[in-house]
Amino acid sequence: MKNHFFSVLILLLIILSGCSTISQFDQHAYIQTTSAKVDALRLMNLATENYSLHVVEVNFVTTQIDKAYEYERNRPKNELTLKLWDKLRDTSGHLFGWFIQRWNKEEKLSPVFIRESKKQVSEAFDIIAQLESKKIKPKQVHQ
Amino acid sequence: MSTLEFDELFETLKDGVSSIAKETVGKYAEQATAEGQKALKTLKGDLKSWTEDAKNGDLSAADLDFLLKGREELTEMHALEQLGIAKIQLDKFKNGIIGLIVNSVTGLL
Repeated sequence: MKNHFFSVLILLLIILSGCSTISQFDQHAYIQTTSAKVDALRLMNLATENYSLHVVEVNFVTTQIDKAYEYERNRPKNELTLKLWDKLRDTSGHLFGWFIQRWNKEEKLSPVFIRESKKQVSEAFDIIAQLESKKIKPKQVHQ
Repeated sequence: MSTLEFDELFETLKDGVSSIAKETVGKYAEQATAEGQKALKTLKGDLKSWTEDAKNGDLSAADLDFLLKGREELTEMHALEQLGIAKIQLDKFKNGIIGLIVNSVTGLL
């Protein structure tokens, strides 16, 4: 009877421990997100000037974001965070990716538009960072 | 733009939502109108400031279009975030059960 009870418990443990639904908290991912946010918002400030003057800075920041995305892409059970990054980076969407496209196309953007768009891009980065910070920390998980 | 003018514009937009809902989604018009008006209410603060900026010539029609679509994408991102939070809660629950079992079993040994 006692053996049967332990067998059921062990089986239950195996089932529960093998089926987390979302990735755990990752300090590196969190730092990459908040760091990319600072760089992206600083870059957006430059959009009052000609895009051609800032190609180097644009490449630097988009590469930082691409690196963060690649890191996220290779984390298991991380589809939701990846979808959030997709929205932020999408060059046919209306957040950071498209802001850069539009700047490139129109050469300069208005200060008021930049200010309002920065609020939205900042909020988008915050959503990603806040979701990460709410995830279960590895030390809280029973292995 | 005075508060009165903006309120009039906002009422026009609310009526517009209702008309579009009736024309496009037929029998679901009531639900669609409620959802559309809820979205408008959420947007009211931004809309007031953007309307003022557009009137002063600081925002173009293309800028407004971009910002409205950006807001829509943020709403979708918030929905994804909520889904993620629900998954985290579920994992915390499972983790709690594992802890309970481990502690109970080790207590018996």
